[in-house]
Amino acid sequence: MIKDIFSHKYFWAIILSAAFPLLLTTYIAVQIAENALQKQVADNLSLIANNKIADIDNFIQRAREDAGLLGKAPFIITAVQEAGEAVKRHEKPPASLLSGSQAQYFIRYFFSRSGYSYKDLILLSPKGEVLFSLKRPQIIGEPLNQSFLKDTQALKLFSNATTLLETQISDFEAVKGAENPEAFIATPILNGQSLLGVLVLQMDNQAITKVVSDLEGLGATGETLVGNVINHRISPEVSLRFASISDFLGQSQTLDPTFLQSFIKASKGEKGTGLMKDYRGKEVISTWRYVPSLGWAMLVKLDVEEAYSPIERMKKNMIVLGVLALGLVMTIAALVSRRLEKAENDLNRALSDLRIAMIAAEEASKTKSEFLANMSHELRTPLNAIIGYTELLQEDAEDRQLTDFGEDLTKIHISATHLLGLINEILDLSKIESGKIELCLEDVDIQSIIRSIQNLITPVIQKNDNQFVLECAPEAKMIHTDVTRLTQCLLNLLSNAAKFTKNGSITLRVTEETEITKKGEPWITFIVTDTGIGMTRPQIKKLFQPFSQADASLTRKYGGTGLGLYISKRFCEMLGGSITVVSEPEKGSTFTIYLPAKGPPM
Amino acid sequence: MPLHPSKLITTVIFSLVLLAAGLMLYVWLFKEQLTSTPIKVGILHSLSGTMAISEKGVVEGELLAIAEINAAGGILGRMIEPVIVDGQSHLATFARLAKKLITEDKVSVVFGCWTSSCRKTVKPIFEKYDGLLFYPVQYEGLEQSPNIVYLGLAPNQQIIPAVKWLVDHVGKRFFLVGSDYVFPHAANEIIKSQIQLLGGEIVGEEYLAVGTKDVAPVISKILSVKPDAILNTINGDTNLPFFRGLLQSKISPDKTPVMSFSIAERELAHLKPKDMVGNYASWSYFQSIDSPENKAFVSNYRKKYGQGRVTDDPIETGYFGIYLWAQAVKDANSDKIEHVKRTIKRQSLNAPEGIVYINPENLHTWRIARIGKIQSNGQFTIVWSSVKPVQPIPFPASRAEEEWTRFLQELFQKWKGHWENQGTLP
Repeated sequence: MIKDIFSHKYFWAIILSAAFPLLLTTYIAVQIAENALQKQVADNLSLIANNKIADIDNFIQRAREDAGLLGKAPFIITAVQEAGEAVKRHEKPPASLLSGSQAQYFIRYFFSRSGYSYKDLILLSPKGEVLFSLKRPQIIGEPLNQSFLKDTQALKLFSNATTLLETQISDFEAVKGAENPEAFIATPILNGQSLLGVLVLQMDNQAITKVVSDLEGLGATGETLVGNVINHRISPEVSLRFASISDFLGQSQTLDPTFLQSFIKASKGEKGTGLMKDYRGKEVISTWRYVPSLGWAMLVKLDVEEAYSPIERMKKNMIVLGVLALGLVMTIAALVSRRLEKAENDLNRALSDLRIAMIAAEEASKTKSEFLANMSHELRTPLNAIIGYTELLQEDAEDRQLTDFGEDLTKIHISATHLLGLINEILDLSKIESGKIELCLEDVDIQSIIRSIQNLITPVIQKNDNQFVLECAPEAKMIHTDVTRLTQCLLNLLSNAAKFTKNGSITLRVTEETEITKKGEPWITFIVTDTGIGMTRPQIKKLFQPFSQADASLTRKYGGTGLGLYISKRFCEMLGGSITVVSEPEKGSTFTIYLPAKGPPM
Repeated sequence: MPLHPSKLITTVIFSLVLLAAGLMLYVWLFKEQLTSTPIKVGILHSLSGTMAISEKGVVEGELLAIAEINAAGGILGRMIEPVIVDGQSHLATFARLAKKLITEDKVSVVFGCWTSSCRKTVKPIFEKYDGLLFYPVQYEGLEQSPNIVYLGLAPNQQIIPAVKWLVDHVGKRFFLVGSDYVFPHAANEIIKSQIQLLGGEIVGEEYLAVGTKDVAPVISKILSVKPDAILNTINGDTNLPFFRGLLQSKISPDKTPVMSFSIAERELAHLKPKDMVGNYASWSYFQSIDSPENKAFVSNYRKKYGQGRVTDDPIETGYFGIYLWAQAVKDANSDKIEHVKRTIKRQSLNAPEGIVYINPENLHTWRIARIGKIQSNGQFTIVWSSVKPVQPIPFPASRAEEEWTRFLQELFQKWKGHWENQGTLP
């Protein structure tokens, strides 16, 4: 049963035409969705990286502005001038330098602002002596290069502030006694066209750590790495999510080269996105950037497993849907193909039955026609004898003045002649049907045919008090045809007309027409018009069928076999022409025979 | 029931028609992505006139980057088509061509100008028609515009560190000499502020008409005041008689070095480096920078333009500028100016000189500052480097922004609505 289904040709046709496009479309859709999602993940990581860099840049910029603003503050300028005077007098500047209410207000504002963790505010003279320190009053009066800051970048910053005259920030570095790495921001204190000193702000990295460690948008496995590259090794500036910095440094030998190279590229100002293994050996998607305000490299990453989990989910769903759809298509294909196969078999069986029946029917019809042809011939011989002897008897009766017999003999003669007519018609029919008619084609003069027909038919027409009108166009001269058959057809039409017309007129019109084709062959038309009883549309329909008259009741009234018109039609067709009729009840009928003047086509 | 051959053909034709219809629908729906019309980039520099010597080099740098990007498949699958026009060292021509590039050629970006007078002439045109100009040369600062990306060095990346270096290593008595147009005047104004704050001394300040060869009065003034160092902002051919005159007057670089701000390798090749050995220049890029990126750049440049050729800061600036812009186009997924103006911010690159980065606030470029010493072969030995890129500060902190702006306006009015002194023009 199952095996049968698979061998159905329709089954495979349906599977191919339905399942193949379905699977192809599904595959393409998955590919498009996968690409879109990968791009989205990359874009998302880029966006996170850009935002973090912008946050860090803005933070540093704000810190620089804070320093610059404080450096221009009147209370700072006054304090530096005051301290400078004291130094000139070789006195230690007072620790209460910035204890004025305005100074206190601003300092409190800058040092308590959330997100900004300033640790100290130091004022230096142009020569580098410490004029003031907010948190470490003990260093006031010391030269900077002898204080505890002598090993820090504060020294270089001081030098830059006094010569480049711009606000600069140092790297974050470990400072003695400080919990977290700290950086210095130094700005020159200017009064018109003279340099009064340098203001230094000290701050730790907590705000930046917060930005870097913010895991928003990074799910369960994402993280942000920032740091420098020292001797081709990554030196993280902020603690990692999945390892301590010392563990990370310990395993830096086994780092994926792609990961290391991406980080080095970032430290050199390049940016990009790619797949790699991180320090845990996990497959991650990363985006890397340069952080200009700190000169750091930044790498934002997310585990591929997590980032692409929607793709995996989608693929699984698609597989399930695909299998279901395929199953559905197969079921439908099996059902439909069985139906189709069955219908086709039934149809083929019916077709072959019909063919057999048709052959049998044709055979039977032929046998019947042959039988009729033979029988007609056999019937005609005794009938001819009857007619012949009747005529002899009639002559005898006339000679002997036996008028009593004469009338009876006339009736016999008429009946026998009528019977012979019927048999001849049946003979013609059977010859036509068994294909035994042979045409005898010759050139004939139309006028002579018409004349002989006129002679033959005039008495018949006049019997019902009808008038016979003959119109023969002079150009209709010759026709190549079988004169016997043509005469038979015309006589049949004219006698029919005479039969169904009383006190009217019957017209025979002969014309020649030219075919409306390229060849322009001449055609002869014979038009027989009567003013008789006419026919209804249903009667006309049956007119040219064998064994039928316009109405069964007519047969009784007017006699005849009902074969005449059928035979005429077949003869006309054999002669290469046709016969048509136009009729209206009570008005009369018009029969037209069209025949090619040059005879039927070979 | 086998498929009749004629039916098979009908089926095949029908399938093909269906396929073609599908393709046409696809093309119609995605025509924006499928069009590969080239992206037009305007190149607006002097190819003739006095500035041609310098500016042709920048054009070469820009065209090299374009050729490299096109060879690698273009941007967003589209080729870059440079539209090169000649400003003829003539300000009115620059103004006319700038307007034509933006409004008629409808270029996506213009790389152009060398002198500050040129930039200041086209700036209002770019602002009025909302064009985008990438300016590739060091300049005096004191300017910013939402329609201009300043690739060249601002004063705090070139002039100020150079003065600091001289103060640290040479002395505090300076002689200022420059050409008589806006850049030397503004640069010297910045220098004067800085030197005054550092407690230094300006012992002379002289301006020479653009293109003059008459340097004798200046040389004799230098001889009479004996400065510690000379700060040179002379542009163009006048440098040739100037250095020759110093040499002949025995003003030697060991005792009185010259720090130049407008002389790079390309100018040295046209001057006489032997006359100038031991003097200094301040730039971000020198051909002698020892990095794989720079070696590749120099080699590619020579492959395209000739083995004897030299590279220098403006050439390299034009080169990386094209790459920065291309990155911004890629990030914007569009070459439309409104989008590129947004994505150009924070673009960074590992250029031949090192890290470059577009500052989002003022559209100036973070670059490493360097000082080089002239060698007899026309190259520089790097004697100092800032190591990390320096944040660009177009308005130096020594004066307030309004003061700088007022200074420029006064200069413009003094020169009767020009950015160069028409009185001393030949």
